[in-house]
Amino acid sequence: MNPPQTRRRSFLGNLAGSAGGIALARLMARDGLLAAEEKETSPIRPVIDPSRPYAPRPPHRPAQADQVLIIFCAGAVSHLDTWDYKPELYRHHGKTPPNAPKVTFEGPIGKMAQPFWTFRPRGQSGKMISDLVPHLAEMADDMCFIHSLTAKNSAHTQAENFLSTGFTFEGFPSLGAWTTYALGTLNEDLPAFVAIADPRGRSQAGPNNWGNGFLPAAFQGTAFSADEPPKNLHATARASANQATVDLLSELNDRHREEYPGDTDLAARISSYELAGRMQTSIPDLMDLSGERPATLEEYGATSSNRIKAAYARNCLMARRLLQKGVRVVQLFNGAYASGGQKNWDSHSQIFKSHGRHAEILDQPTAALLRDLKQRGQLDRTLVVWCTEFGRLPFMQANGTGRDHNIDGFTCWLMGAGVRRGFSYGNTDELGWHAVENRATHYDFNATILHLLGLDHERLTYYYNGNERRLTDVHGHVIKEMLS
Amino acid sequence: MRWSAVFVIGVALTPGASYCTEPDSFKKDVLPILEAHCFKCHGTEKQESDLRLDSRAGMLSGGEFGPAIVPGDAEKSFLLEVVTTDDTDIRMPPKGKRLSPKEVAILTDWIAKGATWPGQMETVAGQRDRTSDHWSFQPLSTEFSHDSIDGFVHSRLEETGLRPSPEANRRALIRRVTLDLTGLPPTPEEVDAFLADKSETAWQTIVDRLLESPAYGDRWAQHWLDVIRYADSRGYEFNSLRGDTWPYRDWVIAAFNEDLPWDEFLFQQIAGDTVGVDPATGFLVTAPLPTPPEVGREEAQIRQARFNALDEIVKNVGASMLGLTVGCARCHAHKFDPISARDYYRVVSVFSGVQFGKRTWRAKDAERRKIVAALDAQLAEIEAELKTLPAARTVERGRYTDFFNAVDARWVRIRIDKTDATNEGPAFDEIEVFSAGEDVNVALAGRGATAGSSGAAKHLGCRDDMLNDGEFGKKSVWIADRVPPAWVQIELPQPTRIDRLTWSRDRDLAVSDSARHAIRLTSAWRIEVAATEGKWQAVVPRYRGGRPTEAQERRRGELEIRRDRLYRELNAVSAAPQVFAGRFVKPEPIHLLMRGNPSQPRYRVGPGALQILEGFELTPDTASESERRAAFAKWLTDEAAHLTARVAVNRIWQHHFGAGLVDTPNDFGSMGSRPTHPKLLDWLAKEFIASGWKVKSLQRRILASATYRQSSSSRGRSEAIRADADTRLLWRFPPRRLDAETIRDSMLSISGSLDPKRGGAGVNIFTRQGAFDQWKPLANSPSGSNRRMIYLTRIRGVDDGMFKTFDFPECGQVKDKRSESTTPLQALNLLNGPFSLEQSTALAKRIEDEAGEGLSARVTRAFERILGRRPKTDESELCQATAQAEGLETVCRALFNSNEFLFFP
Repeated sequence: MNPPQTRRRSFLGNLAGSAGGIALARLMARDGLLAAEEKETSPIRPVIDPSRPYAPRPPHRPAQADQVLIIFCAGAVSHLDTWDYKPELYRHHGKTPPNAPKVTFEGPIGKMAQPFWTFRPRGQSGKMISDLVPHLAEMADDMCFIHSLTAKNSAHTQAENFLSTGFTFEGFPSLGAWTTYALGTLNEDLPAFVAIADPRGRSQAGPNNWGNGFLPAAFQGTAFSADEPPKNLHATARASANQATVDLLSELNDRHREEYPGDTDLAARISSYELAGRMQTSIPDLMDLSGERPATLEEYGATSSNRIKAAYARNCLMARRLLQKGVRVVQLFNGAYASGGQKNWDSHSQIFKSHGRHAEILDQPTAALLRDLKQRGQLDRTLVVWCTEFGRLPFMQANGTGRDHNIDGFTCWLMGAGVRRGFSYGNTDELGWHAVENRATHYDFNATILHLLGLDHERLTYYYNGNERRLTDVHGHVIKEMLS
Repeated sequence: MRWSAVFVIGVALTPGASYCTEPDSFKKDVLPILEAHCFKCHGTEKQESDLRLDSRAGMLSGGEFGPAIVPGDAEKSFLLEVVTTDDTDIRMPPKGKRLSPKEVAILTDWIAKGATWPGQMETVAGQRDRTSDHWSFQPLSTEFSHDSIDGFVHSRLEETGLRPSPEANRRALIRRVTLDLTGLPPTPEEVDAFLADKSETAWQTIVDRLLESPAYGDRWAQHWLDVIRYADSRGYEFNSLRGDTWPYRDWVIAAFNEDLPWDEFLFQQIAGDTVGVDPATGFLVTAPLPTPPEVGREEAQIRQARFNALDEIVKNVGASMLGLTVGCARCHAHKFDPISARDYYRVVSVFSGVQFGKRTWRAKDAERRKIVAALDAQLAEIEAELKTLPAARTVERGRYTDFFNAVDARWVRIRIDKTDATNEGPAFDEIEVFSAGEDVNVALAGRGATAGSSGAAKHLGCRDDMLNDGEFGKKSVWIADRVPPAWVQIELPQPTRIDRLTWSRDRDLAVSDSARHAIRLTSAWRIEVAATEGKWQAVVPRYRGGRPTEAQERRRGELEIRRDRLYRELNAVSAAPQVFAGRFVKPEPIHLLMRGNPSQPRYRVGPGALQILEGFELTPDTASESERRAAFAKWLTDEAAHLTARVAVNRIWQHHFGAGLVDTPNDFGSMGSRPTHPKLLDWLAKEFIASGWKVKSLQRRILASATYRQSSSSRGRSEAIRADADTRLLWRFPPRRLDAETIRDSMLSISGSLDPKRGGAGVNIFTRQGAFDQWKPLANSPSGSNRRMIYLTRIRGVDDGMFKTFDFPECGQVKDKRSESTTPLQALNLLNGPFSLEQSTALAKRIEDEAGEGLSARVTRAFERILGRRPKTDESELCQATAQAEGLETVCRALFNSNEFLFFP
């Protein structure tokens, strides 16, 4: 909701001449505002060698994080039943919500409802977190919450698009695509950006969450999971025939290339086949969990009798292995598409059952993954983003058992490299309904994530259809308070 | 309809009308406030939002959000609204100190008293003229130093110290032009014919042949469909199929094949309905759009969604036809180009009566009506003949009445010969016999009549008295205890003169539909009466017109089969054909929206076009829906012709050479690239207009040039690579990778598997999993999946597991060019994908048939089919060795993956 940049600039420009202007400029400089205004904003374009699109490229400035793990809880997790403790809700329970519209996203509203799970202080910070996520709660001292996020659209797909691409519309590049476009990757034998779908299916916006939009296709996420390898990794033909194909191809291409010395596109294609060859061994190695200790499998929940939980736990294990191998962006989905609260967090009715079901799948494996990363020292250079497209309302729907969408105040959190530990930023009102303190958007959240990766969200641009396009459109401020 | 005629706001004030404020007070009190807070952004240096506040005229004219003040009416003065509001979106000054209450009071008082500005009271408000020195808004050049493509290109090369390349060899040429024009490779026979044609017209012959080939439209339509992100699904969450989208796709293909002039091509896509071409307006509604459940039920979101939909239309029109990012002016004047928010809302207003939806495809409906009429005529003939044949009566289950000549009777009976259920006895719920003239049911038990029969089904609880108890429907049904022949009779209390009998099986239609086909309905019967017991006299025979002969029975059978077939055909054409090409309704009033926010309308905007291109603005209340679109479409190729033509020829050029002369084909504004050859672009645009906007003429010109026909090799040209690695100056023909469609369709064509069927509904190679957005490729290819890719159902954002990685578009945003990326996933798909293996195997089989036994001949044939040339000796030896060890299909697979196959020669 900030006025466009140019206006801010011209405003300061106006002031510069007057005495009052100078005084104000000084005040703003102290608050770090002027620094942001004065900085260079021209695009920084990554220099991409066509034969090595994934070669590591330097960030805009020294980065805190080299890699990023995005844990994406699709369907909208209720902040009021997890991370955002609102004691006033107990007092208002069962009452008519004050100043409420008659109709919210899905329909008529019901009465106020207190959290469905008990909140307790956690860790040294004493952060109040509910019993819905007891394992994750143990990591409270490592988390940095933002309680004042707001979204632009109360429909899942558009809100997922907004979270992942900065636009509610389809066809814009995802955070992962932007990141790998800017930075390449640390291990060229693996895809730079892996999207691990939930065992139950894809989230509502599906591939748009890991799409390349208008960026080159090289930067789209590669979708696979512990149970479903990437497509066409191996041919059904005989191994010797596969080898013979590659050998002959190489000979033919070498001859063809004589006519085209200096043509990088042709060279790039040749090296892409070499990389493909390496992936044929690197990916199966990575997916093979047989080397993991039984205790580790147990800890992650990979041996759970809940088959979905076990499958999600295997995805968590694979995420850790991907990060260890240097994959730049890992996007780990928890929750698929809307299905009456069955397959994702979208709990319009029976929220107690539905959130309970999904937390059971999310909590232990994710906590094990984070602990594991921490113990291995991986969190020192890895940023963890826990996110959901929006929150849920402090009152029930007319059915009395579910919470409708709330885009005006909800919680996500960061952890790991460069992130302030055990801190909470921003606040919703006493009912957890509207963000009132440090209101922020996904623009700000994404700007902060890019900042931690050493990228300036205003300078990471790609010219398309008449605009220097950005992940953050023309908005976004780095939330400095969330940085360590 | 010129700009100035309709858009001057006349706010003339009579001099001396309102001198309430002292002149000194203005200078002393008002002006300093304006100077302190307003002039920096709304004065001589800058005119944010197109507004100047440093003169009274400027205030009255206002900016893009309307007049700043209304003299005498402080309430209605926008200036006061923005300095007092808490809305951070519009408040002024945008940041920092607000105006003090005292300052606000001074301004309020000043405006209320008439906003006296000494010395300026005679000026009137007017529209500032928009001007631009940006190249694309200038008229086309008229003076040219060359009159051929090569002239322009070669002189530019010379300036840079480069020289063009020699002509490519003939094999490369035929391969290049065939792929370019049809998206398919030439067959070995076509290559041989071209090599053998030593005439001067050999090249022209081949160009003409290819331009006339229907495959030309299949390829060139796709370029346009990319730009406007045509797809068959809605996108977003549900991403379900829209249905009836394909007629637009077929229309675009036909437009290219028939060389529909470009001005017509644009006109019909915007207002084709006004000239009877319904599918063309499919252009307006190609955007992905959330469905109402995805929008939700909040009023604000619903309004926002409607404006988003209109924005999609504006973006489509602006980018594809004008090469302008008009959509950027939605929230405020375009940051870089001379497009105001008012311009934007004027275009929105043009399309404000367009709804995403289907309407009747009138041309096809007229055809359908003809078909219906023809079928009806045939049916009538059959019915007429059927009437002449003796026939059993047909009955309905509800009730049936047999009329006969009045007769005196004491007994009346129905003899049942047949029912619809071969193994069941007949059933009746009631039988009524009416007295002649009096019209009284004399069969009622209550009137003393008695029912009898050949036997009631006692085990089902049936009794004969149920036949005349006056109860209809399920409650009281008589069922026979035997299959026909059977009979029922009514004995009247006394002889009565009767003339009709009504019987029913199920008068209330109470028997459920599922039982419809065997309800014991009597289908052949006769009625007899007797005045004296036992002396039966037939009054209603089984057959009308006598008992049919065997020949008549046969004829009836034939006719009935034909009649049923006609009914089925009529059923199939009973609905008017639809096309997803927008529904046109009464336009909703459009206001300029502050910051694009639907809850902040400023003032009404009429339908019109961009001021910078001599646009117009119609009066919103009188301009009908279709008039708006037609006027806009005409303007595109009239006042805006210089820009429209440049954009068009640039697109055509782009697809021949891989990049446009302007390599931002959707943005000819100041953020876009400048043309590499500005004069050439103008010359082509001028010739294009002069040719009657004929695309194929333009293409003939391009293809005839030495620039197009030069070699693509970079051998020995390291100086040129260094100077111009991207080949934008065209020192050679720029090599580039084939796009997804061309790779796939070529492989199918080469292996002999391409299904030649063209047009019609798409073939869906995906299946939906679950309710949302979960399309997956079908495990087994459905019939028709080997048609050209343009004829496959296009679903937004799906991954076919093969060609998505080859930069196949997601169809979400307007797209002017495909990226050309190179990834290991492409390599994996093309090496290992089932499609590659299948085509390699199919081709190996084909070649074994064509080339006979020898390995050498087979390898040669594989090269001819895939690469359009013969192998060199060492290549042949390598391939033979591979074929020997791993089969010919392995050689084919390697060739399908080779750079030579995947790049334009």
